[in-house]
Amino acid sequence: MELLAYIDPGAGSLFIQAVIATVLVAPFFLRTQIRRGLDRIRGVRPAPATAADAAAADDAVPPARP
Amino acid sequence: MTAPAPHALSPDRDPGSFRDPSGFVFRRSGVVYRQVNRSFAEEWEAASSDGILRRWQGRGRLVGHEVADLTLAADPDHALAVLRPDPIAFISYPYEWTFGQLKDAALLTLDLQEDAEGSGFTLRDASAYNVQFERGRPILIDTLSLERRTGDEPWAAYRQFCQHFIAPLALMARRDIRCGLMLRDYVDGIPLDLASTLLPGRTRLSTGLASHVHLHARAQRRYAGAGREAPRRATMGATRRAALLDSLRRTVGGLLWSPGGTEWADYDRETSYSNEGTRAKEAMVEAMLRDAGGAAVWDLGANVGRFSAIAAGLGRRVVAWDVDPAASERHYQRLKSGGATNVLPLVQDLVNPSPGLGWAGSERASFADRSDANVVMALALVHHLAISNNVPLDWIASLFARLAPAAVVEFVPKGDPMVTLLLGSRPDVFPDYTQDGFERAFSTRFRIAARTPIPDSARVLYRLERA
Repeated sequence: MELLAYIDPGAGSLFIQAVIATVLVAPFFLRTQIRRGLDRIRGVRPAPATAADAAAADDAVPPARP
Repeated sequence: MTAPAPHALSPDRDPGSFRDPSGFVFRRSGVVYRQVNRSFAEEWEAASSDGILRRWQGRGRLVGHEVADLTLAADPDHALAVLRPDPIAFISYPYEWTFGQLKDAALLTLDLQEDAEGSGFTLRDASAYNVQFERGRPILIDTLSLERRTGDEPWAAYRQFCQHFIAPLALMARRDIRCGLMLRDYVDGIPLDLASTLLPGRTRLSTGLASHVHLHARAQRRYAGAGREAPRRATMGATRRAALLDSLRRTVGGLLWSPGGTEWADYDRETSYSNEGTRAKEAMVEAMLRDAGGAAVWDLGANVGRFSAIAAGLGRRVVAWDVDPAASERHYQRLKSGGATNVLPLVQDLVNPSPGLGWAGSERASFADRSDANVVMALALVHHLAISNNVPLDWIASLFARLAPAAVVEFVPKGDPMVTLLLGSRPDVFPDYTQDGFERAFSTRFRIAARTPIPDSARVLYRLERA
């Protein structure tokens, strides 16, 4: 019998979100850049629309894997 | 087992506010306060001085508050500050929300987390119970949810967000809308391994659900095994955190459910009334509600809210309950696209209403214990309770009298086409279901203040005052 009551169920969650985010970061970054490029062509003000965009702009190089 | 902290013995403490060591909610003379504990001092001062709280409050995304006198603290030994939050008109729970409400609460949580990220903060938790609906919009009510982000840590509330929002929304959208009721059984959200088992296999082909439910559940199982080492501390830079939030937003946004195909979805359009009868009934209901007075109306069996709108038009605050998630969803969407903001549609089965839940059965109050209504409105409802569900008429009267001091109730007699339809599929074992029987039963709890036949039908509308 596994002693599940003594294990923090969040351990796997922290790990998997880092893995998921690592997989998703490239398409996310690409999408963000394409959107910014299109905005520039359309003459839309380049200010980041969301905090996510701001983060992408500030941290353009995907970090190393955990 | 250690002795409870002194503040745990405070008689004013909200029974649903005990998990967070940074503070708690309590009441004094009926006024709601939130104590901020000294242990949370640095975080509280950081959030207060940054202006993020005021910014959210200004946008109507966080409940407003005033700083109250520290002498009001329920636990002075640990108190740093006492806040008096703006009152929330009615506390509802995620298992009573429509699909759209749960989705909007999820999107609010993601918006706030994204904004917090941009300001160097993070939401410590992502509980659906931290969101309430006020003036038709979701609003965060936990003022102490924010803390400063330290380094490149993953989002600590990710699991909770998935359990409270992604799993129930996915089950409702992709399995069955009634799965929303599972939130009643799981007060900290639907376990992901259960959600993963229940979701259709094709959801593994969806990037969002495959990641945030199926893989997530697998990772939990993998690292929950006895003796297995916990993974080393994961780190996530800003771009990866943003990518995660973006993915969660896309996953939530991609979960769609169109109301329809349930028993009551088209009921409003299939009413047995003529146009003239409908108009007459609306005028009668309006007159009776006006005479009944009061500030709050509970519309039981509200369907898509035709009569809730009348009460709202009179300036009443309305909680519009209906058993059917499709009808309530339609009602919510209708209100969202320009309807009254003083109506809150919620899903509720009167035959099996929300019980007291959580610790000691009092963490989440029951349906009846939350009633603050001055008037209960039950139109075309009693026959469903009495005939479809065999509830004795005097028991129905008893419930209504418990909920409010006044009632506007429609009696639909046996000759009515809708009752004939009900009796078509079951033996008529309801000899007391007559107008006389109705009046006898309701007279045990109420005085009949007004009785008016509805034109073009054999139905009768009553205004009742609790005896």
